[in-house]
Amino acid sequence: MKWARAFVTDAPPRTHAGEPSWRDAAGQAWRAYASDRLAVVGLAIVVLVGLIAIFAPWISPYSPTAGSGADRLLPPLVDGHILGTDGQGRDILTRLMWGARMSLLIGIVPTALAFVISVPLGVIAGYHLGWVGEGIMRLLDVFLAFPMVLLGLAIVSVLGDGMVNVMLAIVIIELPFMARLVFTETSLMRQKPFVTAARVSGSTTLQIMSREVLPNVLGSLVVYSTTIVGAMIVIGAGFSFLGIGIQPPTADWGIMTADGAPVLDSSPHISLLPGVAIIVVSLAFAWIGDGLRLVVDPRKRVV
Amino acid sequence: MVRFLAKRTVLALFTLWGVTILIFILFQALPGDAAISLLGSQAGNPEAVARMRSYLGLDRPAYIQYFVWLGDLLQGDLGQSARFDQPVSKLILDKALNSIILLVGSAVVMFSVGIPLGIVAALRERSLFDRIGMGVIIVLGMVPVFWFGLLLIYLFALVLDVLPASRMYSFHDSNRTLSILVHLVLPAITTAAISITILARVIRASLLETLEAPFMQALIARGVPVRRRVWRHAMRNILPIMVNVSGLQIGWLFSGAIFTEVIFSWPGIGRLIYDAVSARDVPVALGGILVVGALFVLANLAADVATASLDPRRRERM
Repeated sequence: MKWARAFVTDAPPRTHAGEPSWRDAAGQAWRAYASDRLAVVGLAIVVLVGLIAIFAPWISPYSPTAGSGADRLLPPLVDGHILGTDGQGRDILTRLMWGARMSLLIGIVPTALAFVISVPLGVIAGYHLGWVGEGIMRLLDVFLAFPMVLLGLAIVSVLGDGMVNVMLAIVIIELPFMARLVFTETSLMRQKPFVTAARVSGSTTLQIMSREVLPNVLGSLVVYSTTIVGAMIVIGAGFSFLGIGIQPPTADWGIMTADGAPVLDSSPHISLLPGVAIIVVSLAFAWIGDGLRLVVDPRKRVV
Repeated sequence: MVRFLAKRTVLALFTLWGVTILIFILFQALPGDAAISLLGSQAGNPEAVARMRSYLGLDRPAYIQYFVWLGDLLQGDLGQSARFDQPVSKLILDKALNSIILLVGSAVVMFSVGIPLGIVAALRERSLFDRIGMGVIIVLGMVPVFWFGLLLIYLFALVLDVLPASRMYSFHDSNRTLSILVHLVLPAITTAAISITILARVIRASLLETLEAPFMQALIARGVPVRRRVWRHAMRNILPIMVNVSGLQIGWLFSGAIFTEVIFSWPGIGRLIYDAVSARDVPVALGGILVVGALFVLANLAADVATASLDPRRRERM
């Protein structure tokens, strides 16, 4: 048994040189991400808009809600208003900066909430496939069978307007999509050899769920969540535009678009600029999602 | 196929039933008491309130109220609008035709732009047309509907002054049909915009995939000419997915139409729902949402059935 003892004593330590360190893994992930140039642009845009949103009170040149009656409907580049003013004499650049806060909050907070709720729902439904899972998925399918905007309208029409209710509506809009994604991925994972191997080696269901299934499912969910943030910013702005979401005089890109609609003929910039901001930020989130997909799924990487 | 049809229909009915429960729960979640708001000045009298509640059935358990409501619903009774003092179903029916006109117009725009765009982009992959077309499509896919509508109004109604910006027709025009068609152009493009991007992208991707499939290689080897390969063999293979996506998108057009009808003052169901939500006329709002939601479920059902009749594999997967 000499060879056996030699094997045991010479066994390399668990973190031997061949195993990639955390730093290497991060570097590799970043290289995969950065191989998509648009993903880098998207990240830069979101970071920039995020900084603007955080520091809006200090860097914005005017008040976001109080205008001056003398400076109404100024075109861009006049009298120190780089992007002009709206119908109440409020500086548009300032309102765009403050509006970034609303849009990022409306996009990110409900998505994070739906993320946290959808993981247990989807994993339980996808793993057990019993009547509990079946029940959860059927219930969510009913929500899925509803057009998003209508579902949001229904919820807001009952709960009333305001930021919290809009966020709640968006959580309910997102949840079925995200839970269904987790559900599908989990039921696919269940049949994979590594899950069978874990079960054979004596892991409990809870261990398999948390150690084997979850890490593999989370990647896709992170990608999807990032992509959906942009769409939710658009929907949230839509509610504000319709006057059933965030209420004036708060600076919000949807409200700003609506404010400019009556004076579209003479001052088109009031309506059209906030829309450009919405498009740029939602595209940026979609691009980040594309980049993250490369990180999560190595098969999609272009070698 | 019969099995599939039966199963899919049952599923759709189940979903519709779920939709009614959802709407009912939303009704229940409403703050305030219908009896008190109906009584007005007499609301201080507890006996009158109790009588009104029992007249309205509000003193019965929630599940019985649900079945009574569902029974009314199946007979086409969606309740009463306090604001108009009219049945909700009549208000919705009055607007239905206008919504259908907008929907048909949008569907025509969606098909006539989305399908050719997707096919040409796939056949000329990586060409200038493909790159520019797909670039525009990706940006357009993120454009808020309400903003896009305003942009079109600004460009075509205000700057170029070639198309009308609001209402369904104008009273000055002698030919009503022509007037409606002219007024339909911008709203239809606005409603169809996002669906065009989805349709074109799906068609492009699936056509590209099909063109590289082994059976296409076999056809090339056998010397089948390009035209015949594309139009007879490849197109036939992507037809099911094309039909499916189109059906689903028609469902989405219903909901996109809400923004369009608001922006262009188009007197349809979307506008009705919007006005009802703004005025907190909840029976009309939820009734309208219920009707549009039901149409959405039916559009999905139609899309799935049409796809299954074209693609036997779909029937198996049910």
